[in-house]
Amino acid sequence: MELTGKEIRKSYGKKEVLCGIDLTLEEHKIYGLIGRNGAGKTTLLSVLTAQSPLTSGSVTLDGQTVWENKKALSHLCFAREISQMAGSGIAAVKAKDYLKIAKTFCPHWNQEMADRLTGQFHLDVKKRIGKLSKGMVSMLTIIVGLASKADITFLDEPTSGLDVIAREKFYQLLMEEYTETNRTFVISTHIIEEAEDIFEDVIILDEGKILRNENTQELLERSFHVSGLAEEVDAACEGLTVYHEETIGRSKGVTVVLEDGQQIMPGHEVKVQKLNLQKLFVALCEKDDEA
Amino acid sequence: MKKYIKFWGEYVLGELGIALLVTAIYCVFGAMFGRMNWNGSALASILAVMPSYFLFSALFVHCILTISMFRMYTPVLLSMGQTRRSALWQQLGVNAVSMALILLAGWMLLVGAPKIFSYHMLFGENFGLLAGIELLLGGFSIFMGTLVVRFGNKLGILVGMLLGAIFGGTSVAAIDLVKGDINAMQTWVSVDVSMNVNVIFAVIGVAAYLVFGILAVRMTRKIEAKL
Repeated sequence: MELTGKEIRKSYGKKEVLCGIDLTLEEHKIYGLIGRNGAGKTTLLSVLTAQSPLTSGSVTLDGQTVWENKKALSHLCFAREISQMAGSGIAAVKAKDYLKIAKTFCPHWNQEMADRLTGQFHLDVKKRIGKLSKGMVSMLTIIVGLASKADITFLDEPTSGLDVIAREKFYQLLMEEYTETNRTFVISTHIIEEAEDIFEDVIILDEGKILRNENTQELLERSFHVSGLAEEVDAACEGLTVYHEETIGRSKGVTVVLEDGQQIMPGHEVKVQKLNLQKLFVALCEKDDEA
Repeated sequence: MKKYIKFWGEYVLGELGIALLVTAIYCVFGAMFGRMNWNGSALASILAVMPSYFLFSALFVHCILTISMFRMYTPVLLSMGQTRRSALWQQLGVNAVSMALILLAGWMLLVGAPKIFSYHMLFGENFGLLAGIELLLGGFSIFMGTLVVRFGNKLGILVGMLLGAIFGGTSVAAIDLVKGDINAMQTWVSVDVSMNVNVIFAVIGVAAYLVFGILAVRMTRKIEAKL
């Protein structure tokens, strides 16, 4: 099962939030969707699941248009953040009633799993959503996402507000589900460091455009922080695209992502270090700020 | 399909339950402010006023809950993989069933109620007119519900105030009715009631209900799910 977005554009008034995104989500993978606040992550997930209309472009599931297609939508679940504001309507609903709605309308719902997760997270289902803590609301969306058993499941900031134990529990549950089934997960998060090992592929979104969409480990193996005397660093990185320059006196540090056939020039006195995903993300996205 | 019917069935029964509760509160207030004819049987007196109270309070509950239903369930249903078309038709269906049950219950109460006050005759003979008004306002609440889904809570507050004013104003007018003043009733509806008016109002009500339903469908063709 493959979800494909072609030339996805989404505008609100004159503001273009998604600027011609091409994306393919393959079967049985965990994708990490990362980006700064306002980068368009939630909007992208919304249009991929037809919860928000496209301005232009297309989204298809195995060649079938997703928009208003009940069959295609039955394979997708977008466990989105729930607003706890009083006027949102859903805030007045009890957690157990929200789960009841999910049980009724999610076509592949697994009640046994929902009950088990509710117990594991110690979620107080008798409380109204507006009265739950932020972490508890995240647990509720996680339960809906996992128990939906949808082939492609999108989780928007699932760990937001969760304490470290609950986050670990979530990652463990996610990996169990991933290994036992053929499901694909797309997870947007700001807590990159601890989710890095979970993401098979990473999609880095910035200002409505995809900066990177590739295998996480392969990307990290090609990403380096190069530091040393400024002239040595410049010489070592000649011909490479340099991100996130930091200069202190005569010393300089840069981030480079090597493309096919590229290498850091040997024979220069520079220190080359591998990067983790969070540092790479900062380097890639801060470049735009500096520009 | 079975689980959908169960889910929405519980919703409709819940709405009728709230309507009956509000009717009971009306009856209590009616008793407190001397609207009952206690010379006869107390039960007969309550049953006598109940049809008019029920039709009024059920319509009020129905309008408020319809707007609330669209506001709450439309985004949730979309977020759970329902198409816009399916989410809307389910809600329109629920609304129509609920409206039909209110009218049926109102009619049964009218038929069965003891005719203690003269205005009951008037109500009973003009059920078409009443049903037309109920359908018109029921349809209006569908349209308002979809407007609130599309344009947000500020509009919802305005619509709530508007409905409050409509029902509040009507309730003030209805005080005269409960006193049994037929002239006031005729002034209130501003028409010379007759069978033709019944038919005309019923047809207008059904037509308005359908038109508002179609407008609701058009309004939600491209809405976004925002929980």
